[in-house]
Amino acid sequence: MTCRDAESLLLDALDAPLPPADAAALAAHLAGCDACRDLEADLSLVRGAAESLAPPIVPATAWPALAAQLERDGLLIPAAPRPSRKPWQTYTWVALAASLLAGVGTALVWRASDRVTPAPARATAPPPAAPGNVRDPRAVEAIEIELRLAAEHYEKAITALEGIAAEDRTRIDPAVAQVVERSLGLIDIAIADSREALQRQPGSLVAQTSLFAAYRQKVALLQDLIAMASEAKRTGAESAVPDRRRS
Amino acid sequence: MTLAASPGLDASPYDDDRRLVARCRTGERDACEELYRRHAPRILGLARRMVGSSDDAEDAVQDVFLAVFRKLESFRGESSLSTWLYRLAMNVCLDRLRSRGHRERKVTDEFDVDDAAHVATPSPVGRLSPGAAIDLERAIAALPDAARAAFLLHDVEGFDHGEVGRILGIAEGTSKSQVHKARLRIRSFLHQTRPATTGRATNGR
Repeated sequence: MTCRDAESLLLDALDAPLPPADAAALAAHLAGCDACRDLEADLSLVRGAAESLAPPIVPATAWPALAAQLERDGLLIPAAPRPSRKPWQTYTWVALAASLLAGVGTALVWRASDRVTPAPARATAPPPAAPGNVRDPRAVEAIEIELRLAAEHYEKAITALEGIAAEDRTRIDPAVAQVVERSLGLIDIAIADSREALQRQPGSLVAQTSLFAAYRQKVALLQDLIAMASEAKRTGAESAVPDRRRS
Repeated sequence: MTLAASPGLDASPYDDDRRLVARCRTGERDACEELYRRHAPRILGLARRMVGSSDDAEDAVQDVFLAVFRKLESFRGESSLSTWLYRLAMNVCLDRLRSRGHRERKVTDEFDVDDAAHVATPSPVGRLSPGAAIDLERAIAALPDAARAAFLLHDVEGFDHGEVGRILGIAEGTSKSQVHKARLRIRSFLHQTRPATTGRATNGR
Protein backbone atom coordinates (compact mmCIF):
# COMPACT_ATOMS: atom_id res chain seq x y z
CA MET A 1 0.00 0.00 0.00
CA THR A 2 1.30 3.46 -0.91
CA CYS A 3 0.98 6.54 1.31
CA ARG A 4 -1.55 7.92 -1.16
CA ASP A 5 -3.69 4.79 -0.75
CA ALA A 6 -3.37 5.10 3.02
CA GLU A 7 -4.40 8.75 2.89
CA SER A 8 -7.53 7.87 0.95
CA LEU A 9 -8.47 5.15 3.45
CA LEU A 10 -7.77 7.42 6.41
CA LEU A 11 -10.15 10.01 4.96
CA ASP A 12 -12.79 7.36 4.26
CA ALA A 13 -12.41 6.02 7.80
CA LEU A 14 -13.48 9.40 9.19
CA ASP A 15 -16.84 9.03 7.43
CA ALA A 16 -17.61 5.35 8.05
CA PRO A 17 -15.90 2.19 9.33
CA LEU A 18 -13.66 0.60 6.71
CA PRO A 19 -14.27 -2.91 5.37
CA PRO A 20 -12.17 -5.40 7.38
CA ALA A 21 -9.69 -6.06 4.56
CA ASP A 22 -9.03 -2.33 4.03
CA ALA A 23 -8.76 -1.75 7.75
CA ALA A 24 -6.18 -4.54 8.07
CA ALA A 25 -4.14 -3.26 5.13
CA LEU A 26 -4.19 0.27 6.51
CA ALA A 27 -3.13 -0.92 9.95
CA ALA A 28 -0.19 -2.76 8.44
CA HIS A 29 0.86 0.36 6.53
CA LEU A 30 0.52 2.62 9.57
CA ALA A 31 2.69 0.26 11.61
CA GLY A 32 5.62 1.11 9.43
CA CYS A 33 4.91 4.72 8.34
CA ASP A 34 5.40 7.62 10.74
CA ALA A 35 4.09 10.20 8.24
CA CYS A 36 0.78 8.39 7.79
CA ARG A 37 0.41 7.94 11.55
CA ASP A 38 0.89 11.70 11.90
CA LEU A 39 -1.70 12.24 9.20
CA GLU A 40 -4.14 9.93 11.00
CA ALA A 41 -3.70 11.85 14.25
CA ASP A 42 -4.06 15.24 12.57
CA LEU A 43 -7.17 14.29 10.66
CA SER A 44 -8.78 13.02 13.86
CA LEU A 45 -7.88 16.29 15.52
CA VAL A 46 -9.39 18.34 12.70
CA ARG A 47 -12.54 16.22 12.62
CA GLY A 48 -13.00 16.38 16.38
CA ALA A 49 -12.46 20.13 16.45
CA ALA A 50 -14.95 20.64 13.62
CA GLU A 51 -17.62 18.63 15.42
CA SER A 52 -17.15 20.64 18.58
CA LEU A 53 -17.51 24.08 17.00
CA ALA A 54 -20.27 25.74 18.98
CA PRO A 55 -23.07 27.71 17.33
CA PRO A 56 -23.03 31.45 18.09
CA ILE A 57 -25.66 33.24 20.12
CA VAL A 58 -28.35 34.85 17.98
CA PRO A 59 -28.81 38.56 18.86
CA ALA A 60 -31.90 39.16 20.98
CA THR A 61 -33.19 41.75 18.51
CA ALA A 62 -33.17 39.34 15.57
CA TRP A 63 -36.49 37.58 16.16
CA PRO A 64 -38.53 40.75 16.91
CA ALA A 65 -37.17 42.36 13.73
CA LEU A 66 -38.00 39.29 11.67
CA ALA A 67 -41.43 38.95 13.29
CA ALA A 68 -42.23 42.58 12.45
CA GLN A 69 -41.36 41.95 8.82
CA LEU A 70 -43.42 38.74 8.77
CA GLU A 71 -46.36 40.63 10.25
CA ARG A 72 -46.08 43.23 7.49
CA ASP A 73 -46.07 40.40 4.97
CA GLY A 74 -49.18 38.92 6.56
CA LEU A 75 -47.35 35.68 7.40
CA LEU A 76 -47.56 36.03 11.15
CA ILE A 77 -50.49 36.71 13.43
CA PRO A 78 -49.76 40.05 15.13
CA ALA A 79 -48.88 39.89 18.81
CA ALA A 80 -51.45 41.10 21.31
CA PRO A 81 -50.56 44.67 22.32
CA ARG A 82 -48.78 44.90 25.64
CA PRO A 83 -50.32 47.12 28.28
CA SER A 84 -48.62 50.50 28.08
CA ARG A 85 -46.24 51.21 30.93
CA LYS A 86 -44.69 54.41 32.13
CA PRO A 87 -41.10 54.92 31.00
CA TRP A 88 -39.51 53.60 34.16
CA GLN A 89 -36.13 54.99 33.18
CA THR A 90 -37.23 58.44 34.37
CA TYR A 91 -37.72 57.19 37.92
CA THR A 92 -35.12 56.70 40.57
CA TRP A 93 -34.84 53.21 42.00
CA VAL A 94 -36.71 54.16 45.14
CA ALA A 95 -39.49 55.93 43.28
CA LEU A 96 -39.89 52.93 41.05
CA ALA A 97 -40.09 50.59 43.99
CA ALA A 98 -42.73 52.83 45.54
CA SER A 99 -44.79 52.81 42.36
CA LEU A 100 -44.62 49.04 42.24
CA LEU A 101 -46.03 48.82 45.74
CA ALA A 102 -48.77 51.29 44.83
CA GLY A 103 -49.71 49.02 41.93
CA VAL A 104 -50.00 46.07 44.22
CA GLY A 105 -52.31 48.11 46.43
CA THR A 106 -54.87 48.09 43.63
CA ALA A 107 -54.98 44.32 43.69
CA LEU A 108 -55.57 44.37 47.39
CA VAL A 109 -58.56 46.69 47.17
CA TRP A 110 -60.74 43.88 45.95
CA ARG A 111 -59.52 41.62 48.72
CA ALA A 112 -60.61 44.13 51.31
CA SER A 113 -63.99 44.77 49.68
CA ASP A 114 -64.55 41.03 49.37
CA ARG A 115 -64.02 40.58 53.08
CA VAL A 116 -66.55 43.24 54.08
CA THR A 117 -69.25 41.92 51.73
CA PRO A 118 -71.85 40.14 53.86
CA ALA A 119 -71.85 36.49 52.94
CA PRO A 120 -75.64 35.95 53.44
CA ALA A 121 -76.40 38.61 50.82
CA ARG A 122 -74.53 36.54 48.23
CA ALA A 123 -76.33 33.41 49.30
CA THR A 124 -79.84 34.85 49.26
CA ALA A 125 -79.86 37.40 46.44
CA PRO A 126 -80.23 35.89 42.97
CA PRO A 127 -77.31 36.81 40.75
CA PRO A 128 -78.10 39.34 38.01
CA ALA A 129 -78.17 38.10 34.42
CA ALA A 130 -74.97 39.88 33.63
CA PRO A 131 -72.05 38.45 31.60
CA GLY A 132 -70.32 37.54 34.82
CA ASN A 133 -73.31 35.66 36.13
CA VAL A 134 -74.70 33.85 33.10
CA ARG A 135 -77.23 31.19 34.08
CA ASP A 136 -77.25 29.15 30.85
CA PRO A 137 -75.13 26.09 31.82
CA ARG A 138 -73.57 25.87 28.36
CA ALA A 139 -72.62 29.54 28.44
CA VAL A 140 -71.21 29.16 31.92
CA GLU A 141 -69.17 26.18 30.81
CA ALA A 142 -67.88 28.08 27.78
CA ILE A 143 -66.87 31.02 29.93
CA GLU A 144 -65.12 28.73 32.37
CA ILE A 145 -63.15 27.15 29.55
CA GLU A 146 -62.16 30.58 28.23
CA LEU A 147 -61.14 31.65 31.70
CA ARG A 148 -59.07 28.54 32.25
CA LEU A 149 -57.26 29.01 28.94
CA ALA A 150 -56.59 32.66 29.67
CA ALA A 151 -55.32 31.80 33.14
CA GLU A 152 -53.05 29.11 31.71
CA HIS A 153 -51.72 31.65 29.20
CA TYR A 154 -50.87 34.09 31.97
CA GLU A 155 -49.34 31.41 34.15
CA LYS A 156 -47.16 30.22 31.30
CA ALA A 157 -45.95 33.76 30.62
CA ILE A 158 -45.32 34.33 34.32
CA THR A 159 -43.29 31.13 34.63
CA ALA A 160 -41.12 32.17 31.69
CA LEU A 161 -40.63 35.68 33.07
CA GLU A 162 -39.83 34.35 36.53
CA GLY A 163 -37.09 32.22 35.01
CA ILE A 164 -35.48 35.25 33.37
CA ALA A 165 -36.02 37.47 36.39
CA ALA A 166 -34.42 34.92 38.72
CA GLU A 167 -31.21 35.10 36.71
CA ASP A 168 -31.20 38.91 36.66
CA ARG A 169 -32.21 39.60 40.23
CA THR A 170 -28.63 39.69 41.51
CA ARG A 171 -27.90 42.79 39.41
CA ILE A 172 -30.48 44.87 41.26
CA ASP A 173 -29.95 46.87 44.41
CA PRO A 174 -30.80 44.54 47.34
CA ALA A 175 -33.17 47.08 48.90
CA VAL A 176 -35.13 47.40 45.66
CA ALA A 177 -35.10 43.65 45.18
CA GLN A 178 -36.59 43.27 48.66
CA VAL A 179 -39.44 45.63 47.81
CA VAL A 180 -40.05 43.74 44.57
CA GLU A 181 -40.14 40.44 46.44
CA ARG A 182 -42.71 41.90 48.82
CA SER A 183 -44.78 43.15 45.92
CA LEU A 184 -44.66 39.79 44.21
CA GLY A 185 -45.73 38.13 47.44
CA LEU A 186 -48.73 40.44 47.76
CA ILE A 187 -49.73 39.85 44.16
CA ASP A 188 -49.50 36.11 44.70
CA ILE A 189 -51.87 36.46 47.65
CA ALA A 190 -54.27 38.46 45.48
CA ILE A 191 -54.10 35.77 42.79
CA ALA A 192 -54.75 33.01 45.31
CA ASP A 193 -57.71 34.91 46.84
CA SER A 194 -59.19 35.67 43.43
CA ARG A 195 -58.94 32.02 42.45
CA GLU A 196 -60.62 30.98 45.65
CA ALA A 197 -63.41 33.48 45.04
CA LEU A 198 -63.84 32.20 41.50
CA GLN A 199 -64.14 28.66 42.78
CA ARG A 200 -66.93 29.78 45.08
CA GLN A 201 -68.60 31.91 42.39
CA PRO A 202 -67.39 30.86 38.92
CA GLY A 203 -69.51 33.54 37.24
CA SER A 204 -68.36 36.45 39.39
CA LEU A 205 -67.25 39.27 37.15
CA VAL A 206 -65.56 40.98 40.09
CA ALA A 207 -63.49 37.91 40.89
CA GLN A 208 -62.57 37.42 37.25
CA THR A 209 -61.52 41.03 36.89
CA SER A 210 -59.51 40.87 40.07
CA LEU A 211 -57.74 37.66 39.04
CA PHE A 212 -56.71 38.98 35.65
CA ALA A 213 -55.74 42.35 37.08
CA ALA A 214 -53.43 40.51 39.47
CA TYR A 215 -51.99 38.44 36.64
CA ARG A 216 -51.35 41.60 34.59
CA GLN A 217 -49.69 43.26 37.55
CA LYS A 218 -47.41 40.30 38.08
CA VAL A 219 -46.43 40.22 34.39
CA ALA A 220 -45.78 43.98 34.41
CA LEU A 221 -43.78 43.76 37.63
CA LEU A 222 -41.62 40.94 36.31
CA GLN A 223 -41.09 42.87 33.07
CA ASP A 224 -40.05 45.92 35.10
CA LEU A 225 -37.70 43.78 37.14
CA ILE A 226 -36.04 42.44 34.01
CA ALA A 227 -35.85 45.96 32.53
CA MET A 228 -34.23 47.23 35.73
CA ALA A 229 -31.65 44.46 35.61
CA SER A 230 -30.92 45.16 31.94
CA GLU A 231 -30.48 48.84 32.65
CA ALA A 232 -28.23 48.07 35.63
CA LYS A 233 -26.14 45.84 33.40
CA ARG A 234 -25.95 48.50 30.67
CA THR A 235 -25.09 51.25 33.12
CA GLY A 236 -22.45 49.07 34.72
CA ALA A 237 -20.92 48.27 31.34
CA GLU A 238 -20.86 51.94 30.32
CA SER A 239 -19.33 53.09 33.58
CA ALA A 240 -16.69 50.40 33.26
CA VAL A 241 -15.49 51.63 29.87
CA PRO A 242 -13.69 54.81 31.07
CA ASP A 243 -12.03 52.80 33.83
CA ARG A 244 -10.61 50.39 31.30
CA ARG A 245 -9.42 53.25 29.15
CA ARG A 246 -7.64 54.81 32.10
CA SER A 247 -5.88 51.63 33.06
CA MET B 1 -29.07 10.42 8.50
CA THR B 2 -32.07 11.01 10.65
CA LEU B 3 -32.55 14.27 12.45
CA ALA B 4 -32.45 12.56 15.79
CA ALA B 5 -29.10 11.02 14.97
CA SER B 6 -27.56 14.14 13.51
CA PRO B 7 -24.69 15.43 15.57
CA GLY B 8 -25.01 19.14 15.96
CA LEU B 9 -28.67 19.27 14.97
CA ASP B 10 -31.62 19.44 17.25
CA ALA B 11 -32.83 16.07 18.41
CA SER B 12 -36.48 16.68 17.58
CA PRO B 13 -38.08 13.82 15.67
CA TYR B 14 -38.93 14.42 12.05
CA ASP B 15 -42.65 14.35 12.84
CA ASP B 16 -42.18 17.11 15.33
CA ASP B 17 -40.76 19.36 12.59
CA ARG B 18 -43.68 18.51 10.32
CA ARG B 19 -46.19 19.40 13.01
CA LEU B 20 -44.33 22.61 13.63
CA VAL B 21 -44.38 23.50 9.93
CA ALA B 22 -48.13 22.87 9.80
CA ARG B 23 -48.65 25.29 12.67
CA CYS B 24 -46.35 27.87 11.10
CA ARG B 25 -48.39 27.78 7.91
CA THR B 26 -51.37 29.10 9.84
CA GLY B 27 -49.30 32.08 10.98
CA GLU B 28 -49.19 30.87 14.57
CA ARG B 29 -46.75 33.15 16.26
CA ASP B 30 -45.43 30.73 18.89
CA ALA B 31 -44.78 28.08 16.26
CA CYS B 32 -42.91 30.47 13.96
CA GLU B 33 -40.79 31.66 16.85
CA GLU B 34 -40.08 28.08 17.93
CA LEU B 35 -38.96 27.12 14.42
CA TYR B 36 -36.73 30.19 14.32
CA ARG B 37 -35.19 29.62 17.74
CA ARG B 38 -34.67 25.93 17.03
CA HIS B 39 -32.67 26.49 13.86
CA ALA B 40 -31.36 30.08 13.87
CA PRO B 41 -28.22 29.50 15.99
CA ARG B 42 -26.81 26.81 13.70
CA ILE B 43 -27.82 28.70 10.57
CA LEU B 44 -26.05 31.77 11.98
CA GLY B 45 -22.95 29.67 12.64
CA LEU B 46 -23.03 28.37 9.09
CA ALA B 47 -23.56 31.87 7.68
CA ARG B 48 -20.71 33.38 9.70
CA ARG B 49 -18.30 30.75 8.47
CA MET B 50 -19.53 31.04 4.91
CA VAL B 51 -19.66 34.84 4.49
CA GLY B 52 -16.97 35.72 7.03
CA SER B 53 -18.53 38.83 8.54
CA SER B 54 -20.81 38.82 11.58
CA ASP B 55 -22.99 41.65 10.28
CA ASP B 56 -23.33 40.05 6.87
CA ALA B 57 -24.11 36.73 8.50
CA GLU B 58 -26.86 38.19 10.67
CA ASP B 59 -28.41 39.86 7.63
CA ALA B 60 -28.12 36.58 5.76
CA VAL B 61 -29.94 34.71 8.54
CA GLN B 62 -32.80 37.20 8.40
CA ASP B 63 -32.96 36.70 4.62
CA VAL B 64 -32.91 32.94 5.10
CA PHE B 65 -35.82 32.92 7.53
CA LEU B 66 -37.83 35.42 5.51
CA ALA B 67 -37.44 33.01 2.61
CA VAL B 68 -38.30 30.07 4.86
CA PHE B 69 -41.59 31.56 6.04
CA ARG B 70 -42.47 32.90 2.60
CA LYS B 71 -41.81 29.53 0.97
CA LEU B 72 -43.19 27.35 3.73
CA GLU B 73 -46.20 26.50 1.56
CA SER B 74 -43.85 24.92 -0.96
CA PHE B 75 -42.19 22.66 1.63
CA ARG B 76 -43.61 19.23 0.83
CA GLY B 77 -41.70 17.22 3.38
CA GLU B 78 -39.89 15.21 0.70
CA SER B 79 -36.63 16.10 2.39
CA SER B 80 -36.18 16.85 6.07
CA LEU B 81 -36.87 20.37 7.23
CA SER B 82 -33.19 20.74 8.09
CA THR B 83 -32.08 19.78 4.59
CA TRP B 84 -34.57 22.21 3.05
CA LEU B 85 -33.60 24.97 5.44
CA TYR B 86 -29.85 24.51 4.95
CA ARG B 87 -30.36 24.51 1.18
CA LEU B 88 -32.04 27.91 1.42
CA ALA B 89 -29.32 29.09 3.80
CA MET B 90 -26.50 27.95 1.57
CA ASN B 91 -28.09 29.60 -1.47
CA VAL B 92 -28.36 32.90 0.42
CA CYS B 93 -24.74 32.67 1.58
CA LEU B 94 -23.35 31.79 -1.83
CA ASP B 95 -25.39 34.59 -3.44
CA ARG B 96 -23.94 37.03 -0.93
CA LEU B 97 -20.41 35.86 -1.61
CA ARG B 98 -20.93 36.28 -5.34
CA SER B 99 -22.55 39.70 -4.99
CA ARG B 100 -19.65 40.84 -2.83
CA GLY B 101 -17.39 40.25 -5.78
CA HIS B 102 -15.79 37.06 -4.65
CA ARG B 103 -14.32 35.03 -7.40
CA GLU B 104 -17.28 33.11 -8.72
CA ARG B 105 -16.88 29.49 -7.96
CA LYS B 106 -19.49 26.87 -8.62
CA VAL B 107 -19.93 24.33 -5.88
CA THR B 108 -18.77 21.60 -8.26
CA ASP B 109 -15.39 23.28 -8.73
CA GLU B 110 -12.39 21.27 -7.73
CA PHE B 111 -9.15 22.47 -6.21
CA ASP B 112 -6.59 23.32 -8.84
CA VAL B 113 -4.17 20.56 -9.82
CA ASP B 114 -1.16 21.91 -7.92
CA ASP B 115 -3.15 22.29 -4.76
CA ALA B 116 -4.60 18.81 -5.04
CA ALA B 117 -1.15 17.34 -5.57
CA HIS B 118 0.14 19.22 -2.57
CA VAL B 119 -2.46 17.89 -0.18
CA ALA B 120 -2.74 14.43 -1.66
CA THR B 121 0.70 13.27 -0.56
CA PRO B 122 1.40 13.03 3.15
CA SER B 123 4.56 14.92 3.97
CA PRO B 124 6.73 14.39 7.03
CA VAL B 125 5.60 17.58 8.73
CA GLY B 126 4.99 16.02 12.13
CA ARG B 127 1.88 15.98 14.22
CA LEU B 128 -0.30 18.90 15.23
CA SER B 129 -0.62 19.63 18.89
CA PRO B 130 -4.17 19.84 20.25
CA GLY B 131 -3.61 23.60 20.69
CA ALA B 132 -3.65 24.01 16.93
CA ALA B 133 -7.40 23.51 17.01
CA ILE B 134 -7.86 27.15 17.96
CA ASP B 135 -6.85 28.11 14.43
CA LEU B 136 -9.58 25.98 12.91
CA GLU B 137 -11.87 28.95 12.24
CA ARG B 138 -9.10 30.68 10.30
CA ALA B 139 -8.31 27.52 8.40
CA ILE B 140 -11.98 27.11 7.45
CA ALA B 141 -12.14 30.74 6.33
CA ALA B 142 -9.16 30.15 4.06
CA LEU B 143 -10.87 27.31 2.19
CA PRO B 144 -12.33 27.88 -1.27
CA ASP B 145 -16.08 28.51 -1.12
CA ALA B 146 -17.08 25.12 -2.51
CA ALA B 147 -14.85 23.11 -0.18
CA ARG B 148 -15.85 25.27 2.77
CA ALA B 149 -19.55 24.69 2.07
CA ALA B 150 -19.15 20.92 1.87
CA PHE B 151 -16.86 20.76 4.92
CA LEU B 152 -19.20 22.87 7.08
CA LEU B 153 -22.23 20.83 6.14
CA HIS B 154 -20.53 17.46 6.65
CA ASP B 155 -17.95 17.81 9.40
CA VAL B 156 -19.50 20.67 11.38
CA GLU B 157 -23.24 20.30 10.85
CA GLY B 158 -23.26 16.51 10.64
CA PHE B 159 -25.03 15.88 7.34
CA ASP B 160 -24.00 12.80 5.40
CA HIS B 161 -22.58 13.09 1.89
CA GLY B 162 -25.92 12.29 0.26
CA GLU B 163 -27.59 15.14 2.13
CA VAL B 164 -24.70 17.51 1.45
CA GLY B 165 -25.14 16.66 -2.23
CA ARG B 166 -28.86 17.47 -2.08
CA ILE B 167 -28.25 20.73 -0.24
CA LEU B 168 -25.52 21.93 -2.59
CA GLY B 169 -26.92 20.39 -5.76
CA ILE B 170 -23.85 18.23 -6.34
CA ALA B 171 -23.15 14.51 -6.61
CA GLU B 172 -22.51 12.52 -3.43
CA GLY B 173 -19.04 11.67 -4.70
CA THR B 174 -18.28 15.34 -5.28
CA SER B 175 -19.27 16.09 -1.70
CA LYS B 176 -16.93 13.38 -0.46
CA SER B 177 -14.09 14.66 -2.61
CA GLN B 178 -14.56 18.26 -1.48
CA VAL B 179 -14.74 17.32 2.19
CA HIS B 180 -11.62 15.14 1.98
CA LYS B 181 -9.66 17.86 0.25
CA ALA B 182 -10.90 20.44 2.72
CA ARG B 183 -9.63 18.33 5.65
CA LEU B 184 -6.21 17.98 4.06
CA ARG B 185 -6.06 21.65 3.24
CA ILE B 186 -7.00 22.59 6.80
CA ARG B 187 -4.24 20.35 8.09
CA SER B 188 -1.80 21.99 5.73
CA PHE B 189 -2.96 25.47 6.80
CA LEU B 190 -2.54 24.61 10.47
CA HIS B 191 1.00 23.36 9.91
CA GLN B 192 1.89 26.49 7.96
CA THR B 193 0.50 28.87 10.56
CA ARG B 194 1.61 26.99 13.65
CA PRO B 195 4.86 25.25 12.74
CA ALA B 196 6.01 25.25 16.36
CA THR B 197 3.20 22.92 17.31
CA THR B 198 4.46 20.05 15.22
CA GLY B 199 5.60 17.25 17.42
CA ARG B 200 7.82 14.76 15.66
CA ALA B 201 9.28 17.44 13.36
CA THR B 202 11.17 18.79 16.33
CA ASN B 203 12.52 15.35 17.10
CA GLY B 204 14.76 15.21 14.10
CA ARG B 205 12.46 13.35 11.74
